[in-house]
Amino acid sequence: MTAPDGTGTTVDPTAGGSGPGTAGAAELRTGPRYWVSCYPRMVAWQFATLRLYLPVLAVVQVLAGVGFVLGIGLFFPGEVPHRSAVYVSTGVPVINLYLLGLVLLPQVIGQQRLAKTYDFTQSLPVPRSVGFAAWYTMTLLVGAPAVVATLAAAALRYDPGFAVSLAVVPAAALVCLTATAVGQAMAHAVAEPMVVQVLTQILNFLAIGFAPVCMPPEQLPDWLVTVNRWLPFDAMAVVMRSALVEQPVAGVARACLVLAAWTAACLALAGWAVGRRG
Amino acid sequence: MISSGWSLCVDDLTKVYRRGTVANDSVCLRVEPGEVYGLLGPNGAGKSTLVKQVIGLLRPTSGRITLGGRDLVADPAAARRLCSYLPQAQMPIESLRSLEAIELTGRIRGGGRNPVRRRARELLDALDLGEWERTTGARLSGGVRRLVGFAMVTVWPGRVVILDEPTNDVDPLRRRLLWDEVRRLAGDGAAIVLVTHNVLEAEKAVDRLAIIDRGRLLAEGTPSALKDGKDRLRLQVMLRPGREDPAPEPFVLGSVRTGHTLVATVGSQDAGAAIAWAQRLVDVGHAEEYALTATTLEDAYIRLTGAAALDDPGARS
Ligand SMILES: Nc1ncnc2c1ncn2[C@@H]1O[C@H](COP(=O)(O)OP(=O)(O)OP(=O)(O)O)[C@@H](O)[C@H]1O
Ligand SMILES: [Mg+2]
Repeated sequence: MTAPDGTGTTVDPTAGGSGPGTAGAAELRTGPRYWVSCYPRMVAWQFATLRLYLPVLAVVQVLAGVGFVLGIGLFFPGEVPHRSAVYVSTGVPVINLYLLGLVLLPQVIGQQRLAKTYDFTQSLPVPRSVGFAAWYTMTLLVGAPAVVATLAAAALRYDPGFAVSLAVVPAAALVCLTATAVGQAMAHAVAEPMVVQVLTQILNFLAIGFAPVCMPPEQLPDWLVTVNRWLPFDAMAVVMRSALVEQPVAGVARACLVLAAWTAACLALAGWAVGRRG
Repeated sequence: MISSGWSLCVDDLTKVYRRGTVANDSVCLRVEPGEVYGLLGPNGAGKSTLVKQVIGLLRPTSGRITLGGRDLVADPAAARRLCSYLPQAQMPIESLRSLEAIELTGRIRGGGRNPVRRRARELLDALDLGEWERTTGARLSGGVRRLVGFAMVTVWPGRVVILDEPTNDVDPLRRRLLWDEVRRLAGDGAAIVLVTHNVLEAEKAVDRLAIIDRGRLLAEGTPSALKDGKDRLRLQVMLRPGREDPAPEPFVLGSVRTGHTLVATVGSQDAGAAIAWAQRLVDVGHAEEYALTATTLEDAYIRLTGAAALDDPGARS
């Protein structure tokens, strides 16, 4: 029952082979080592599947981020006040990551649903958490150049007094994680691609125009500030700002908790939606 | 020796979609390792729905699916690892080169780098796809794309290999190569579930098959057992245009007319009488030609699914 050439077609149940096709059911590998062995393969698959799209997306993100940072300056008739400059400079990278996490996955899954290739992707034999981790990795890598370019442009244009520390890396990673989790939840829990598109548009507007991300909270009505204390946009901006400016930023711990809660809730929702299985 | 601990058991499986379509209705079947098992049925019979539940993409409304002592309904992650699945629809390989796509899925299925590379080469050669190994999916013809999908699924196969209409768009020569490869997989001990609505293909390629219509399993067995038995023959008469059906003869056990062709089933002991009758129809100018042959699986298939349609005329709306 062993294939003569010893290739993957071996399915002898007694052979403790190296893959799902060759391992006995009682011995399907699990645990951290299995997870770690799946992860790079899934990353390779996702990068290869989207290789025509990702470079374009990364460039568009850079252009959009830099353009947005410079463009906002035009809203101010003269010199941009320092406080506004800080909010713009630290808020636009958040919007960058936020849009990417929110839009990328729902779009790709929506497109796969339309092209009917979604079933195969879903049938790949990796834990769902590996799929999410690979996806998150990709979002982070596509978004990184945009964050760097946007921060550089902001520093040159507004001189907001950045005190860039290494803390910006975990801050950006956390912002991106929450955004990816929200995107994951929408992509899986809302099956209809059109509805997903409308939802992402609405969320984009809310994040840009109605949250203290690119503008100080005193420019918003009080009730909106209160609402935003429970939404992820404000928390993302707080986390990012705290990693970029010298003065201490209030409420960082709370912001991290809000993001953690949103991430957990969205992943739970996505897990439930995937597990529902039609 | 082939262990029967690895047979795929589907027990009393029912799937009702959210809008109320009953796509599978109390289906029971069992596929043994080393066996090519066909699921044959018309469009909308519920074949794809059935296999999607095996691979864990859909949750059954009720019923059990087990493999190697595992409950696949409760453990879809195990289902995905133990079963390989070629969906009826396209594969997401627009931007992947053929060889690369096959290798990547082999790796994801758990194969080591070198064994997967060797086996991918082998499959490309066996399916005569070498010419396209560097072509991206977006530039492949439909049939080649389908074959690349087949190779992706079988490069590092699971215990169960599910193929949902693998030969769609594939040319006749490469179809034969594909069947050889399917046979080899079964020989290596995989249980193959083959979905098709091509009766001739099913007859040649499978060891056993189930005929499914409107979600129900109508018959199951080997192709020869499912034919109407050895004591029956098929008499096909080409009538002249505009002629009525000839008056029924006592030895005709059943007949179907489509266009100018009358297909009748007769007992083999009546072969002489049947030929004499058909020849008389030709002599009087009622018919143009006739042929008496062994019954085919198609006859059984038409009889079974046609009967189901008569039983239950509104079901497909
Ligand atoms: N996602 C779905 N939601 C609701 N109904 C569905 C869904 N998918 C399939 N159906 C219905 O279930 C029935 C069985 O469909 P299925 O795709 O399993 O048939 P099939 O035997 O694979 O047909 P074909 O040979 O055309 O591929 C059909 O009536 C179909 O309309
Ligand atoms: Mg189908």
